[in-house]
Amino acid sequence: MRLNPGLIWTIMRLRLKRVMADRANLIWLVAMPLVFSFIMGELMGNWSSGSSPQFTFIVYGAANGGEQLAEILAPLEDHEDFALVVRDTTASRASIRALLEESRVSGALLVGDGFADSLAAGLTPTVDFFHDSERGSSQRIRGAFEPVFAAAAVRISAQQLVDPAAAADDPGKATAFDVARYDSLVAAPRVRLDAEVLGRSREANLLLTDSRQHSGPSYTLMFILMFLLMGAKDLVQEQKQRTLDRLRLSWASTGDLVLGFFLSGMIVGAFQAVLLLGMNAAIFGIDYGPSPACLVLVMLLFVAVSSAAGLLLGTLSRSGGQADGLGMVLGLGLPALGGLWWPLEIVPPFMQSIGRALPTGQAITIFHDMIGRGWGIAESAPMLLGLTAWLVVLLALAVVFFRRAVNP
Amino acid sequence: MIEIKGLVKKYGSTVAVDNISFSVERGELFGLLGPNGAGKTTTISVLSTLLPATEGAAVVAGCDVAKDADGVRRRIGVVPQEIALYEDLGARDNLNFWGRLYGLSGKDLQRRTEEMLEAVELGEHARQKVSSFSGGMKRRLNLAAGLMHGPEVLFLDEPTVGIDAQARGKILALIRRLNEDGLTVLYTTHYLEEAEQLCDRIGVIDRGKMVALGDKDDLIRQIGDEDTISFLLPPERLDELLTLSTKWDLVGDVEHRRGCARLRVRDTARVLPEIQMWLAGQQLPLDHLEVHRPNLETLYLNLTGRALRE
Ligand SMILES: Nc1ncnc2c1ncn2[C@@H]1O[C@H](COP(=O)(O)OP(=O)(O)OP(=O)(O)O)[C@@H](O)[C@H]1O
Ligand SMILES: [Mg+2]
Repeated sequence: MRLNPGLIWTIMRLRLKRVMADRANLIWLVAMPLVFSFIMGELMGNWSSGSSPQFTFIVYGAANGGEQLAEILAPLEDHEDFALVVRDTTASRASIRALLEESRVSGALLVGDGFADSLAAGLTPTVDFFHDSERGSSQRIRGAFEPVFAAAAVRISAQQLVDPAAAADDPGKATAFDVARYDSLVAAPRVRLDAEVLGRSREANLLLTDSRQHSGPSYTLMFILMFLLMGAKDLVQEQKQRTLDRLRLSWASTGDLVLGFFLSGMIVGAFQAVLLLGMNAAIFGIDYGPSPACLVLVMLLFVAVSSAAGLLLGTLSRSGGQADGLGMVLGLGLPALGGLWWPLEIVPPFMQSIGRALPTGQAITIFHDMIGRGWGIAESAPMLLGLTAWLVVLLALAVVFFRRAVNP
Repeated sequence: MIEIKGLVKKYGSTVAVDNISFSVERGELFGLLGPNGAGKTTTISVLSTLLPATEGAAVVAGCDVAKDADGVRRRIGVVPQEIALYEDLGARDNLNFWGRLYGLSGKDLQRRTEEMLEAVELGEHARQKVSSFSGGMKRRLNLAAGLMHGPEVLFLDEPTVGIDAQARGKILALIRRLNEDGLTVLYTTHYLEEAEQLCDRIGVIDRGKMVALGDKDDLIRQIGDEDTISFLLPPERLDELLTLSTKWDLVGDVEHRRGCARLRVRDTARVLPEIQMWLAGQQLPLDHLEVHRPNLETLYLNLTGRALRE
């Protein structure tokens, strides 16, 4: 297929100009989404805060961990972000890995058998800490766990300074420890944490702390999809009014036309994405996670999927009314099923899997994972691939049907 | 310039164009005349490569429409029956866009756009949105958009439909001027007067079939060049008229039906005043006296047994 970038750009510019020329479009493009995201952001309760523990933990080994182990675990058991779901004395690295990969837990502590003895012998025993993903969520779990562990480690270390027997004889001795030694122990506690990453988890609870972390991205996605689906009637109109015939007669090839239509939709969608995500960041302080690359990628893919869907709808519709009607059904249905109106996490598993098979569900899941788990491109790869598959299929169908419309 | 042989176009079982053949010479202004649904638009669509022919062959500006669509598209301009413009944009924006799509840019594009705006007398409305234009203005801009790239052959599909006489006059004058400058034009219409006024040669198409084809004057001559004079006449006065009419060199007999007399005469200029004087002298009504010139309507009636405009 021969392509002419100059002609493609001409077609894109015209379509963008027409979008801007129509005041009604500004309502759907800018006003409605801004107002909606703002109002919904303000209205929705913080559905995720104060909920059940964020990380499920399992502790293995150390049948004879002694008081010191209890010392480490007590704050974990009390901490609202953690839950110790299993204690097991027969664990191995392999079994822990399996559990993590099956997403049964989001983290594990492996305490070696000689833990108490090593401590008593004045050595520095190590506690192995495993968690569920490669980057983002590990950082979060680690960030939450490490201070808790460090405090416990210092307490254990400090106890080493006191000879319990002597303290029983003479309470005065117990307080007479050396401040300098204490400081050095705080700097280098007698218990070390060795963190290691294993497997990945989707089932682990999300750490969304603000409803707008959901409503911001989801309304952005919904309005992009709706606007680009509504664009389908433009194509029907071009057919009816014969401007499409004029386009066909010009130097522009079918490829130029398809790309011109598709890319102009992408620009409109990208504009909306920047505007809405930017507003949510600026007004509500929403942080889209540690990976800007993943954010850009998911938005590009979603905008492309929406643009291709609009184009396909336009080529399949026989009338503007039909395009509008179907556009509405899809523009409202896909967001509902995909968990844009309410989080997929609260619907039954069966509906969750349907949702995550749809581009809307895939995109919002990626947003949740970016925001709530700190995931990046690598962790979100399956969902990104899902979006890519949708893009390939929809665009291919759009091209086929467009060609058919244009070359009867 | 245009050469069509045995062209057939079917939409499913509907035969829209049924074995049509004709040719248009370079520089000619050819009129394709026919009522609604005759197949005019379909013919133009095939010739302009927008639709594939079911059967038959067509060559436009030296290029076969089936084999060298690009070649044809490069050389033709098409003005669709619809206002194929972006009505939410201004006149200049529209022309600029269509010019760009034909590879024009920069100064050339600018010059051509202004030239065309002037040609269709829309220079003053260049920035105005097309949606606010009158029917005639839209039609003129529609025409200009088909001319931006300077085609050799222009297909005009009913370019004056739905506009008033004055606006129509402007468009016809413009087409005539373009034709005088060497543009070959295929013009479709269901207005007889337009075809008569404008075209050198005419094809009359009805239900997909070409029912008459030739020089405009030849076609009219086929029907004969006698005028028909008709007027109201009470039956009891018919005999007087018959006697009187013996010196008028009539073609055929005097007809009398439903109180109305009709005679076909060769020398209207001499006969008409005599009839008028006679009627006035007899105190008979003059206001229904009519003279019919033979025209395409008559031809069409003769050919199809139906009036051209249903
Ligand atoms: N896309 C189509 N599908 C099916 N039938 C069609 C289609 N386009 C035209 N026709 C039929 O083909 C015949 C010729 O139509 P066409 O539009 O060529 O006529 P026309 O002479 O241009 O009429 P008008 O003066 O109304 O524009 C009509 O009977 C019409 O109903
Ligand atoms: Mg027509």
